[in-house]
Formats: sequence, C-alpha cells, structure tokens
Amino acid sequence: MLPKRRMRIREVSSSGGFEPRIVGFVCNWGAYSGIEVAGNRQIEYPANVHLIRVMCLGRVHHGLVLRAFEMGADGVILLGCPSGQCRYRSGIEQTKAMVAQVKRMLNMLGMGSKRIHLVEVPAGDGEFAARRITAFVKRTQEMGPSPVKYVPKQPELAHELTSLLESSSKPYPSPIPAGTEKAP
Amino acid sequence: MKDQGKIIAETQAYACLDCGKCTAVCPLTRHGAAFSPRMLVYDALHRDADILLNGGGLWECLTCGRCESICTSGVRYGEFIKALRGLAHDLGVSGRCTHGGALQALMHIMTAEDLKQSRLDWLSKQLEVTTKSEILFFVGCVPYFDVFFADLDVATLRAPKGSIALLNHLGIVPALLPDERCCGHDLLTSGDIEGFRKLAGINLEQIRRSGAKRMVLSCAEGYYTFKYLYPRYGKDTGLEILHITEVLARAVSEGKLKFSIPMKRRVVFHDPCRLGRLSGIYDAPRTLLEAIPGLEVAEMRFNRSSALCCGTQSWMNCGAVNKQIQMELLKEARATGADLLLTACPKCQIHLRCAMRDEKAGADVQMEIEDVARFAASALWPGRRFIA
Repeated sequence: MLPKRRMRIREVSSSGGFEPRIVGFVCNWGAYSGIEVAGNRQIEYPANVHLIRVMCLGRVHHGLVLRAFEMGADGVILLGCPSGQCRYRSGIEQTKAMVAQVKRMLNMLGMGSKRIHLVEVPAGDGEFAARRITAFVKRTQEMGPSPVKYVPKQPELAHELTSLLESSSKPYPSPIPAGTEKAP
Repeated sequence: MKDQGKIIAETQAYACLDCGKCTAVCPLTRHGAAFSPRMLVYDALHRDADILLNGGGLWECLTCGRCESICTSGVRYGEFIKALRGLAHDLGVSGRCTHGGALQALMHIMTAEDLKQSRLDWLSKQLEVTTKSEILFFVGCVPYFDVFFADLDVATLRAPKGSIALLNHLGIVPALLPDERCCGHDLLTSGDIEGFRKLAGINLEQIRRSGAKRMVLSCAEGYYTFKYLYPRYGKDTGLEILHITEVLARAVSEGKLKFSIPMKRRVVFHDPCRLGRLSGIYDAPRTLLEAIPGLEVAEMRFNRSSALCCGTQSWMNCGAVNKQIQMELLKEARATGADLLLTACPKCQIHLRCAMRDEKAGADVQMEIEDVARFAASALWPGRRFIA
C-alpha cells in the first residue's frame, strides 16, 4: 500500500543548490545497453535520475509519466531507441506521440513542457546517454522544483487500516443504529 | 472514517425492501455484468465487510442514478456507493483505472496548491471574458480532455466556446478563473474523499475571491458537483449555480434569445445522468432546441428520467459490458431517425465517440455528436468559425 522506497537520491552533484528528483524510463534494448556501457567505462552522470528499466518505451503510457509527476518528480526523462530501430517496430513512435501530448498537458498545468524529455540513444552509446542525462538534470535544476508535492499517507491511517481489516471479518452487530429508523 | 453501519443509516439502505426494481432497470445488470444494485445493498446489510469492499461489484456501478430514481424505499444509492467506495479507498482498495490512471494522476496533480496553470489559451478574441464579474463561467476539464483524447477527434472545448459566445450575445461578459481546478467529481466517486476536499477547497477559495454571485457551467457533471456535492461535503459555494441550458432556456422564454435562421434537421437529445436524473433538468435543453425554427427534436425510447447512461464513470472499470451499453444508446438514438446526437456532458461525447470507433461497431451506430449549447450557437450564427 505505502510505497516502500520513495524517490530518494544520493546527492552527488556538488552544486550545493537544488537537487532535482528525476525519473528515467529506459528501454531494455538500445538505451539500457548504453547505460551499461556508461557504467562499465565509469562515465559519470548525476545520481538525480532514478532509472526504471522497461522492455520498450512504448510500454510507458501517459499514466506512468503523469503518476511520476504526481509523486513529485521534477522531471521525467525517457531513454529509448532511435526511430526505426525499435525491437517491437512501433514502440518509439508511440512514445513520441505520448510525449507530445504530455508536453501540451504540462504546459497547460503551468509546469512547463521541458520537464519531460525523450532521448533516442544509439544502441550501446554510453557517452551519449550520460551526456544527455547530465544536460537534462542541469536543465531541470534551472527550472526549479516542481510545484507538485507528494504527500504520503499518514502513518496513523495505516495503523487504523490494520485494525479495521482485522475487525472486518467479524459481522457487524446491527446495521441499524438505534433511533435512526425512518419510515421510507 | 465512516463505518459501514453509519453509511447504511445515512443513505437509508436499511429501508431496502429487496424488491429488485433497481436491478431490473440497472443498465449493467441488463447487459449481463455480474453486478446488481440490490445484491450490493444485501451484502452491506447481511454480509461482512470483506466481501462487500473487496468484491469487484462496488467499482462497477455507473452511478447513473437509474436505480435511485425508481427505488420505492428512498435508498440514496449514489451516496451509498460513494461512501462505501470511500471506505474501500481508505483500506487501499480501488477500482481499475482506465487510461493507465493518467486522468487520476492529472486530478491529483491539480490538488497542488502552488500550481499556476495556463489553461485559457483556447480563448479567441471574439469571445468576451473578464476577470471580475457577477457571473462566473466554470470551464472544467475540457481543455485537458481535448489534448488527451485527441485520437478520438473530440472537441469538447466547443461547449464552453459556444456557451460564452451565447452569453456574450445575451449581454453577459462572464468571468473566468485562470487557475480553476478539476471539480473533484471523479475523485469523490472513486472514493478519494480527501482528494475531492482538497480540490474543492482550492476552487472554493478562488470562487470566493472572484466575488461572483452566480456561476454558469456547460459541463453537466461540474454543474451537479458544484450544486449538490459541494454543499453535501461542506464546501458550499454560496453561489447560484446554473447550467448553460437553464440560462439559455430562460432567455428563450423571456424573448431575449431568438433564432431566425431555420434549420431543417432532425436531432435527438440525450439526457446526461448528471443533468437529468441527478439534477432534475430535463426541460431546459428541450426548450432551447424547440426555439430553433424548423428543427425536429426526436426522443429516444428511453428518455428523461429513464434515459440510458453513456456507460462509463470516473475513468474506471470500462469493459465489454460498458461498450454494449454505449452501443444500445447509439442504436436507440439512430432509431429515432436523427443524424445528430446532442448532449450536455463532455464525457458522454468522449465515451460515445470511443464506442463508435470500436471495430465491431457497424454503420448503424455511427452518428454525429455535439454539445447542445454549441449546437445552439451554430444555429444562431451558421458558419461562424470562432466557436469551432
């Protein structure tokens, strides 16, 4: 029920200013291989980005992106394959259409369309991926924090839930509290 | 948190006679869903909370109010469902969000107080609006719908455009809120009472600051929410809430709004649940349409208080049964011989357009859908583009 691991980052950049929290959706094929190469070669990029590996960016729909913003993400970066190289043919095209729609909605919300960014990473190009992630983090830093703050559920409520769940297996004593009967 | 006993008492569910009239008229039950309004009341009265709150039935209900309108015992079914969903929501149970939960996320984003939207870009120079006026026009979520449902070719923004044009024609320059939020109807209906209260609170503060005395809406759901749900949840606006068809019908009967250009066409009006059954407005849209010379207004077999529902609610639990209900509605509408279906709710438009695009949908369900206020505007000024 409660997200166990909320978006929390190790702050490695030394700017000392605002540290944006960014969600990154990464395609398993082209882009993730790039990220792995970056890791192997020790190419650095800011740790503000939380990468989520998906089988194809086509799987990332409006709901996931907007949910990230709902949960207080300052930016969302999508790292996918270049057009024409999608393993599932049309995944990246679908993502492009989705991103265009979300950009319009973010503009309407006053959050700015630049909070979402789609990068087409050539397969295995770690340097390119790291460079683009770094640039996006910087851009988000300049934009400042998102106006949306995620308020997690109160811990007292979680407590209440357990007691309610325990009691819910018992039948209610009487559905009609005394004195509330009314002729229909 | 309300408990089940209290909900039963407050919504008069205890008065249920188990007669089954509700189930007989329920569109879901008729189309074969494993859902019965009567059984849900029965479960609430006689079985334990687990079955009630974790059973899927709770989230299927369309909240169309058909059962409530026929119930002889006065069970307030809409409130009953909303309250039970609230209880389930607090337990962490929820319905299946359609569209990947994008619209729910959008509503939750709008609860952020620091948001500064720029949602009025669609206004054209020909539409006169102001920031301070006695009359406030609440646009609703349609600017977002038009972006999100672009692939359905929906143009729900036409409703506020046509409405504002007509208000201007009547000499009214309405005020618009530049940062209005979602009215919260869908969060409330999906059990998120806390989220609803947040949205309502922000809207209420903005409305109060605007200094308006009356509020006009072109969205049936928003109208119902502001007029009836806000006061019920302690967020009374204190304003006179009017649906655009009420304003226009009044103008017609007072002779202020006259249509001079005849229109040879047969149209049919679909009563949205929120405007018809839940708010009791049936005559206003019909009065408005009858004022257009030459226009034939047909009635569906099921109309007014027994009107069919557009099949889905609160961006939740949409499936084959919901599609069937939509097909039935479209077939009924086509059977009247009309080629244009008029409605007053943006969601009816979205749902029915979606149903028409179904691969299995034949030519017998294809028809034009338009908002009633925007249609009146196009009857007054044929060919004018600013309302398009």
